[in-house]
Amino acid sequence: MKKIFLIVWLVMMIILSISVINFAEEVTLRFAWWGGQVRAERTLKVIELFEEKYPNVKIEPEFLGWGEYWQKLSIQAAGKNLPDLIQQEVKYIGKYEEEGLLLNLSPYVEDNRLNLTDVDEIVFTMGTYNKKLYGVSLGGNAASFIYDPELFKKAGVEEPTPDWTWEDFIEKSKKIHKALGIYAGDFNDLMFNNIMGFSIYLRQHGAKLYDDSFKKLGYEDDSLFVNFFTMFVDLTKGGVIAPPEVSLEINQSAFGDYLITKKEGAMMTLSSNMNIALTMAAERPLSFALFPNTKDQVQYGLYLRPSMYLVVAENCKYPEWAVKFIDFFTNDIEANKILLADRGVPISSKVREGLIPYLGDLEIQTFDYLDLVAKHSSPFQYYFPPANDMVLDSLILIVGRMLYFEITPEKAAKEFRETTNKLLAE
Amino acid sequence: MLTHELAEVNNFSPDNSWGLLLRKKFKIGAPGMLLSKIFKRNKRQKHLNLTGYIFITPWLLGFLAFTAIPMISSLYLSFTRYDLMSSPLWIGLGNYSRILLHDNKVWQSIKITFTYVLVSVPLRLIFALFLAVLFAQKRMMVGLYRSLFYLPSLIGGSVAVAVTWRKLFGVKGALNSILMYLGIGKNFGWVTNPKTALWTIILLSVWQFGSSMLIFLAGLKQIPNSLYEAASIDGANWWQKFFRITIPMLSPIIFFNLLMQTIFAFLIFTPAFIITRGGPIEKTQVYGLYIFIRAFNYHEMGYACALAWILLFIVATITFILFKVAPKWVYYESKGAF
Repeated sequence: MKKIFLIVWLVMMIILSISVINFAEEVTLRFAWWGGQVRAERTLKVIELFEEKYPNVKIEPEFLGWGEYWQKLSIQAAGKNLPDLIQQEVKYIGKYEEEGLLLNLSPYVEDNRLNLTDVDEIVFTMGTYNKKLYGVSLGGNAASFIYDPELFKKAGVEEPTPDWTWEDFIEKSKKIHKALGIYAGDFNDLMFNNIMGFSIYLRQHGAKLYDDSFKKLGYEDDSLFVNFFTMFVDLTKGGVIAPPEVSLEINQSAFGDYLITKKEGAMMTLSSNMNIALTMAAERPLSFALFPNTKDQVQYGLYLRPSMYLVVAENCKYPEWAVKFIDFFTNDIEANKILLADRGVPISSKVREGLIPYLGDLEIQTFDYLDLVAKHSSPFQYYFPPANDMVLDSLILIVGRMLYFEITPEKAAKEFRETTNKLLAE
Repeated sequence: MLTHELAEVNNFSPDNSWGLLLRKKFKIGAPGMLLSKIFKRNKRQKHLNLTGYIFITPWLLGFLAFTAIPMISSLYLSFTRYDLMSSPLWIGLGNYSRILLHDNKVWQSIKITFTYVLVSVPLRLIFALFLAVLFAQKRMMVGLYRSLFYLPSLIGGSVAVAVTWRKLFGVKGALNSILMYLGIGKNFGWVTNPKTALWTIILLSVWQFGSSMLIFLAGLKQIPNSLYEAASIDGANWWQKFFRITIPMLSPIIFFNLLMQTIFAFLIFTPAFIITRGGPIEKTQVYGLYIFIRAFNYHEMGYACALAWILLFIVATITFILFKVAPKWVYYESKGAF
């Protein structure tokens, strides 16, 4: 009798559980991100993993290159048709929040539906706006110099040390160019489209690009601008770094097109999380170096920053599931084994530790580099004024004119100050 | 661009007499004629009209959804500040005054666009006319050549060609290879040099002469042979016949081509967007591209709409001037249109 009861009970449980699965709501979420081939492959695999775990959820991927991504996203925002899960730049979170386009994640963190217990405090304070959490960082990140040790050896040039200076950088560049007849790099690559390299240089002098008020430039002395860019104008004149004619032809969203991958350049700068994709395209080992230092610098120019954020759109129909996906992305070791720090070093310390046995040489290199940066960096508030994109474009134009020798660095410095202050004041 | 050009060819089939067709078109366009027609129509006409309206409904819906409504909303948006996310904020003429008084880049892009139009349109027309004259003669395989030379226009507006162009004129492109083989030239970035970048785009535009060529060809066939015969008897040589007969007889078609090509040339966007991306140092930032950048990179949709309406005004003015100047050089066999 007892046996029969047990069997009946078991059968009922099975039927019940099947019906529960069948009655679970069908959920479709759209997930948009920018990035290259490697990221797409890995992310699609993680999406599959999530869908296996929760068969009622279907995630539709939408991925594009950096430039097109923002164009499409703004149109989707205008049409009130934002994807449910959005990979977001920290500098745009404030803007999207002000327009009420983002879901407040704080309640989910409070009752632990979104588990951030293993995450460093600093990483998630940056995703907050008006004391509410809107985004979860997808990884830690830093600007980096990347060089080809093989080419350095061939040219008989010593590899950069953590305390190398701008003078060392110039000297090494010239030596490489002389010995191998290749470019040291190209300007866009070497200085992160100008603005990043320049702002790091400014920080080394205790200045910054924007004043805290965001209404004017954060440095008074134009000689900082002149000194920094004269270095590159001179190197371009000497043919040591590639002229703009060459660098403009490089397709910035294809790693295979970079000078360093084609062995036509020896150095470049890159966000540390992109090292893996670059090395895979180059098909040979590349090394990390810190940014060159200024002699007797006031502070380290480099800083750690969250690479990008995952946010949920306000118009998302299934916020529960979207949050569950973020939680999965952040805390699931299996998922992170696939992602392998492509979006930056994982923010959860548990995942970081759990991942170590599975890391390849490339990932270990990136993790080590971030540890190195942690020791050679100074804190930085990673916020930008609304006119930042326009300032960036005007700097690119002004630097371009310098590199085509249309204007001198002195004139460029003045022009940049005028246009930027005008843009910021508007 | 491509669809416009195809439409040109389709709407004006070569069987029609060109001068006649143009005149008809202008007459219908006159509001007075249109009004009188509306008041005169009887029942049967009304019935016919209904059939007509039913036939054009698909087009009409498309026109409303994709042309009329967007145009009206863009006119409204041009008086607002609109960043695509928050709702538009009415600022009156704010955008227009900012564009005309404070924006240097607008003037720069207008200058670049005018250079492009003034150089590419005449070149394209001359090239099209030259080939049309060649292909008007009865020779072997002339049909095949005609098709082959039309080919660039079919594919010319596409992204693929723009990408190819970029490679063709690159530092390691085909052009440089040929120059190197000939022993002249060095590694020169035609697309990335500020002095030559615009010219590569102009060249691409000239290369797409096909639709103008076809229209010229049709026009050439309409010129009565008797005129040439009479001239031959009088002892005129080829050049005299060309300048005294061909050009005047063809002038309505030249005018039509000039008008259409000028209007479409002002709308240039794709080549500048893909081949040069507006660079180097914004030397190819044509007006259309500048609108795009303002709208989708800086999220100033209201400002961009105002820019677009200014472009419409510029194109309308140019068209008006062309029409005013036309009677001085366009010859119609039978008077009436002007």
